[in-house]
Amino acid sequence: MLLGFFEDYNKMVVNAKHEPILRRANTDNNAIVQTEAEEFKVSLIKVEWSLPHVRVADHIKIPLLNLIKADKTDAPFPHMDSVRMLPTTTRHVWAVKTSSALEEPRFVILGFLRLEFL
Amino acid sequence: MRMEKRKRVSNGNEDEAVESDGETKDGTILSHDDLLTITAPCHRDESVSHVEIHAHQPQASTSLINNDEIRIAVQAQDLNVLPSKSSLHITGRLTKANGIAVAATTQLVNNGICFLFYELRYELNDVEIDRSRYVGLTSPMKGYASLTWSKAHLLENAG
Repeated sequence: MLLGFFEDYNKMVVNAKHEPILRRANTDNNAIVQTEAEEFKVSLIKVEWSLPHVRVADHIKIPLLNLIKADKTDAPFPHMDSVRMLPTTTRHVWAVKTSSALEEPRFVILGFLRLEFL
Repeated sequence: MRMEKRKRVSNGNEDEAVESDGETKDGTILSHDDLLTITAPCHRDESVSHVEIHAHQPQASTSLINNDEIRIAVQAQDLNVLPSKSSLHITGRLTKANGIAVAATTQLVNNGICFLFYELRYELNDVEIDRSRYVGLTSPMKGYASLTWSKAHLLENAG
């Protein structure tokens, strides 16, 4: 659910190298809520990606492999990106995003956060 | 007059459905063809013969502290995989700096696991195809807009 690709591209991906990359935040303070101040530490022990491997019948496999030879598959999916704006002025014109013709913004979700986000 | 018209249209749809796949969309009405082909052989769909879930881990040397990049590479390329049904499992410990348990006043926020990460990228054949920054904020914002109440609660801290 975290990326548009995972949420909406429900098809199998054949013969490709997959690599999800997570980047740890520079602070863990955003993940913690405290009612009394206290020092804390978040230590990750394990990160694991469970990925279903699909084995298909031979008569399906052959056209799939031919498809790879043709080097042609489209994988359309929506992409979600978040843009932050943090000016404290009373007026602001927000140039949200410039995008290529290939991807065009369809929906905008605007949210306001009351707490401090680092 | 209008009612009649609508009725006819709905009938038309139903007929069409029956003709095309032998039953209506909710599967209640069978066509005569389906009822009478008693000699039809049994078909089994075995095009997908097996699905197994494998856990992939980052390289053993990867450290998981702040600002680190955690790459989980699936090197084998002769696989058919289903990324949309995959899941990330993150195990960790919330302690004081010296390792003893924190007081009950310190807790993870809603969707707290995502806030531990600044960015999530996905590379396919070394090409970046999708990326999300501020994962902890992006995914609930999208979720609030598109999930039903029960689904959103089902997710708890998972997205």
